[in-house]
Amino acid sequence: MDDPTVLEIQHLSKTYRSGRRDLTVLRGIDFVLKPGETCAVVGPSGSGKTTLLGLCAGLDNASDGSVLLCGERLETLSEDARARLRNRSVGFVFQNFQLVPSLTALENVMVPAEIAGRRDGLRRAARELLAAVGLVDRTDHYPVQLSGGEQQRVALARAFINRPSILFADEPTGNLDEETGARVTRLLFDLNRESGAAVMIVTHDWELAGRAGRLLRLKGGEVVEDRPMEAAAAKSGDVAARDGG
Amino acid sequence: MGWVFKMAWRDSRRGRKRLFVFSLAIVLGVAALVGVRGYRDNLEMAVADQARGLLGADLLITSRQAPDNSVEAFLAGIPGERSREISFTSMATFPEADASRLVMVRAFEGGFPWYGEIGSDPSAAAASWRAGEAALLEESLLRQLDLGPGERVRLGGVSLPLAGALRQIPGEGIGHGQLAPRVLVPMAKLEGTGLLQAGGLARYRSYYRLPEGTDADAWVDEHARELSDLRLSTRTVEGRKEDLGATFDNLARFLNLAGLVALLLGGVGEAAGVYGYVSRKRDTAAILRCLGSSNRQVLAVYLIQGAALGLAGAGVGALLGVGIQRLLPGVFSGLIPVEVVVSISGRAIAEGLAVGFGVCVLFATWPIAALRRVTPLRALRASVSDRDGALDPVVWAIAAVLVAGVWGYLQVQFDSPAVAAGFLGGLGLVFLTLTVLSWLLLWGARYLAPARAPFSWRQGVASLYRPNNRTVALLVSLGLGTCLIAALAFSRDMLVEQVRFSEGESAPNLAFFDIQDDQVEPLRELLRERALPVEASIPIVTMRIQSIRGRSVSELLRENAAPGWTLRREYRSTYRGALTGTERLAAGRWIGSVEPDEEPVPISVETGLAEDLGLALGDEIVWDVQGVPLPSVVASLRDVEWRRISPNFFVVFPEGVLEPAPKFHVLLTRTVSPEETGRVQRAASERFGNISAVDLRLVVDTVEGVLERIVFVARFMAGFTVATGFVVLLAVAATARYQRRRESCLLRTLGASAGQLSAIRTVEFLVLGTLAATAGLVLACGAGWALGRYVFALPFTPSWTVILSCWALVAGATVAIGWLTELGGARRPPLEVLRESGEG
Repeated sequence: MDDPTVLEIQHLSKTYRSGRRDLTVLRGIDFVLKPGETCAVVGPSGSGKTTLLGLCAGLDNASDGSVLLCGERLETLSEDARARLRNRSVGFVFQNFQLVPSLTALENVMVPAEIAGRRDGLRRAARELLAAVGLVDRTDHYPVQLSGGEQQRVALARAFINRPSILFADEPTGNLDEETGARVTRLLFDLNRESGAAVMIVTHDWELAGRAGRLLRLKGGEVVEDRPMEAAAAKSGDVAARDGG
Repeated sequence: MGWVFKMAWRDSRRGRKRLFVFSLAIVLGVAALVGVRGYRDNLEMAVADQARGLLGADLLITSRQAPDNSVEAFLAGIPGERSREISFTSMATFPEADASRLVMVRAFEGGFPWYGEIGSDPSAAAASWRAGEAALLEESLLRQLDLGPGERVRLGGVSLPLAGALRQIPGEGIGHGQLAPRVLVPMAKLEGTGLLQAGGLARYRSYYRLPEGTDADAWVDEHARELSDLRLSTRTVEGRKEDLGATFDNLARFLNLAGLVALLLGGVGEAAGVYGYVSRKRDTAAILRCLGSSNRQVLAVYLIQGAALGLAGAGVGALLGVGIQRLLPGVFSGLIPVEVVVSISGRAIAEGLAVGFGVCVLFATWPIAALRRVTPLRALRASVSDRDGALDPVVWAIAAVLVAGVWGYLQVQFDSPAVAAGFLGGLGLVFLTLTVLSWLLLWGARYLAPARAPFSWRQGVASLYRPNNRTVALLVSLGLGTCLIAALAFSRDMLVEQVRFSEGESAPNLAFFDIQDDQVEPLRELLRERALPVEASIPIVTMRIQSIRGRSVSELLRENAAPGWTLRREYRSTYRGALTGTERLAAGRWIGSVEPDEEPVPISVETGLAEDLGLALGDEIVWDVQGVPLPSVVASLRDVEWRRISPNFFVVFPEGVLEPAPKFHVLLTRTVSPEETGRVQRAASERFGNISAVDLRLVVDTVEGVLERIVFVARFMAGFTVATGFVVLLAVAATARYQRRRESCLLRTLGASAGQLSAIRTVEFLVLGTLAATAGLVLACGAGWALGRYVFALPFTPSWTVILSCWALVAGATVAIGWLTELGGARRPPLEVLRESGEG
């Protein structure tokens, strides 16, 4: 327990009200993520993967349990304090890219740093990140003028502009073809290696999951498997078949 | 904070044109406010500059009877220079034009006007009149009869050459010459006309230029008692200024309200547009929240855009308002008796900018505040709905500020909390009624539309209630515009209809006045020769009040017991045995005849006059019938329909008492054509110089003309509301354009023809226009009924011409604007549209 943690989840549960009955989508989840660690969260649709990611990032409130993110207990923070924490310490990559349509690629990359009030060298840093994802010639293009793969690479660059402690990625290759997905995966892990950020990836993509150091498998809102990827890899074919992935 | 501004600027990039269109919704409202306010400022300046010209003198004293020795001595003793005027109505004949007309004869003597000048065409004409040899004739009549200088006018026994056209007498608008055109004659010629007879209704005015340093108002206050005893009324420059200010203030209040309604309507439209804009910004808000911006920062981004919207709208509105200010002198021409020089009013612009900006920001904040409920989780899952909570306190706070702001504005306008609250309540009721009507109509369109209607009809109607529609906002804004225009038209129709003869073709249309006793029979003979019927012959006796309940008029005037005019005026009363069609017994017993020596005489008094004089049944009034006291008692009270053009009286005596008194008569007949009217008028004028013959058709036309002018001003301002309704339509239709284009592309991809797509859009806008017109017309009928019942006391019958023309205008314009927003869209390749982002 002496090792520092980036993310520490304890007995995390989430219950929604659905009509007249309660629907529990996450039940008593516990796990810890250390700096630089990469973790793939897999499971069938409806198993609670995205809900877990949303709770870990402070995008939603848990019904029970606690989340310690970068040393801050989320359930004690206000909405705005959680937003500040996200801005300071968290990077995001979404399945549907989620770039701001009215901003150019460069501006999209700069947004998190601008929110933090950074000015000096910001444009250069954003350009370098865009260069790192191979889009230095697309800086002034709007999202609508970029392909899906290009948009996701812009999103990757944006995720790392504030040098986050942890990156949350929700199906980052879900909307991309195999070749583009592979390129995005490679970039994601390259940037992770360079920055030293922890990564939590929700995915159905076994090739992507296979590059993570650890595998967390959810089913029916509970963790049914939590082990290093080497051990999980042996069973991957079996799991993929079961998850429909 | 710097990022917030930067983000607001960047984020607006793809939607600036649309935002600008939203801001246009408030432009017309702001323009109206700035225009009216600016004109009011200009008018104030003009009145201050031309104050003395408003009267042409420092003091005016008027008497309704020829000054006797005591009055003359008093008038002659007033210091300064004096000028006299005698005026009365009479028939004038124009031999060259072979025409006769009822005119207002005005004879002047002395140096009036000392301030300002008599305007004439040619300008030298006024000097010829002043030299005592010629007359000046009202310009409109001169042009109408195609007369020129040198041609003649005959007034009774005098024939005078016309020097030219009369354009302006200081302080008088053209309204002065509307019913009876003015003819200015030299005082020296008046006696020769033989028209000024005892019992005739004339006014005697004395104008004064007081010695330098004399305060006219102080002088009037000082001599109030003598003036009252001598039954003289006064007017000073200050009083005239106040009257004029009060008149225009009333008009300006109405115009400001019209502007305010347009502004609020624009605000509603703008809110609808911003709602659509912001709805598509929810994803961006969620992304920004994910990336770490606070709720406040996200709100600030869009509030800055809202503020910019307000500045743009208010700025363009203020500019347009300055332009409108230049149009207003034309709109008010003839209604304002001073020459208004239009100049830019900084105060008007600042006020318009502030009010416009405030309204715009408040209405924009309403939908923007909803972004607070966007959860960042939406970035992960588009299906996540916003946070719940029906009662958003911020939204209610904005509503409260808005209501308080409007109330404050109204309070400043009217200086009466009750009136401000009443108007605000009325406005709220109108909005609420239109909203409910819109819901009902929409419900009807949804559930009562035939299921077997053609595809394009079903699609077009369905577009009205698809998700994110702005149909109710559009129905309310267009409906309100329609309602205002239709209600104005209904009011005008009601008033004009009232002055027409309800009996139609069989009603008298020519009236002879001032007939002496010995002229009655010869005039009847003249009509008989021409086979014209005598519809009525009414005797009129002039009299004044001597005392009421034993208290003299002087005492009552000193005590301010009743309005001065009711005590001072000369009453023209009649006697008859029965009520007429324009009268209704309100209280007491109608007594049609009495014995000649019965005293006090039971009389009937009109209810309004009785109220002013504080009279009740059984009260005693002593009349001064041309020097003879006549005691009377109030036996009955009558309601009189004054709006009907027919001889109506304040006081009616029974038969049997007034027959021996000096009197004159009014005789009514009916001609079949205006040409015949002209011939009879000329014949009567030639035979009986003192008799006036009034063509009642012309009176109706004149009243219609005056109403038209007022309705024109009202319509001009209501036009802002209607135009705002269409701008709102334009703005909202532009918001929905993206969604509509995607649907069209989808349908085209699925094989729909261009014709089908056109039909769908036409149906959508046609149904929208029809529903809006229906909602507005239903409300206008309600308003018309209420105005008829509670304001005009008239029966209300909606005019089908008004209904159909309003319907055609609104529905047609709605379809046209709908098509305007679609221009260019149909030519774009479907794939390009389908790939386009929904935001922006």
